[in-house]
Amino acid sequence: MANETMTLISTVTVGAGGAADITFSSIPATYTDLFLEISVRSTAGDTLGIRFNSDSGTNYAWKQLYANGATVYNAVSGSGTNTAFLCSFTGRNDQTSNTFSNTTFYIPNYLASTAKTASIDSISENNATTNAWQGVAGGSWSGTSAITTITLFTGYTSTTFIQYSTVSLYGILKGSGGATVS
Amino acid sequence: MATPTYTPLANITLSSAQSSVNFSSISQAYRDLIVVMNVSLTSGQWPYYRFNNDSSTIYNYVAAYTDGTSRGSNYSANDPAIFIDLNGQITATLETITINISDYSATDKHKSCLHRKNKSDGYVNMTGGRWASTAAITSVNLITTTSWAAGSTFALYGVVA
Repeated sequence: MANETMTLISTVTVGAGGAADITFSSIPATYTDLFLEISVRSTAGDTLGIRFNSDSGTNYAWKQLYANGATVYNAVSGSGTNTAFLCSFTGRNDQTSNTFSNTTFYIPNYLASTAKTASIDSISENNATTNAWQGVAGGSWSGTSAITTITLFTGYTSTTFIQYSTVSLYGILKGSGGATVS
Repeated sequence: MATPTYTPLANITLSSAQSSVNFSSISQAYRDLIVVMNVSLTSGQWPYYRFNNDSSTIYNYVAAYTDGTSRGSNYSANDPAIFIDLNGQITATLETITINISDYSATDKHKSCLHRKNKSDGYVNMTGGRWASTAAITSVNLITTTSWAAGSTFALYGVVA
């Protein structure tokens, strides 16, 4: 029988009161990689912030390529490092109704005792001629601890995720029949 | 019973440097393949990949990239492989690369793939490629002109339709 992977660990859906952040804690150490499926909309602003293990130090680095259908941009974490991953999008509450961003966030080897890397794809399409973003980013977190907590927050001060924002965390398990090549 | 999604087919962890890594004898029971790499090189270079060890000049690909301060796009036709990033070397710093290969077992179409390269201290790259062969993919060959560093990991998953 095929080994099933990409196992749903947890899903968070924001209720009527909104949420300042969405947190996955006590992430089990039984997988190889982690994968986030993110569909969010914020009260204002369009930047999504992500941190590992509640680390708000300048331990995140990322580079981003993004566009709005008219112009292509590139961005880099300030001075090479930042206090969070700020390289993906939220939908905005002042844009077309019922539109949420769509972001995938892949973290290989989240238990490793080395720095962690991430692959990020993000879209915020809202049927508008501007502020409809799509982008790709590559990031790294210099922490050498296993990832046990992931926190998502809106990137602008005093803003929150609105109702129906949903984030799902999956664990992906590599096969047991692999080889260590020497 | 839960529906299988990513089915792990193989994984390789290097305990010493290797110039190439190959997934061979790939089961034909899935629709798509996904390769996940968490890798570095022993010295900076431009790795590439092939299918079925085919080195004929039938690979075509288009890429967009940025190093954070500049951006661009390039296109290569009739190449002997798909380069992961012609603009940014993979170096001794760990990075994540994913390769999605669609309809890999089909024998009535060329094979298309999409890869992403993520290097926070180098280049971020996205590339769409085509191997102009109707042969089913039975091996994926990940090749360097130096070596994948010890500790690099490679995982292959099958995705059912």
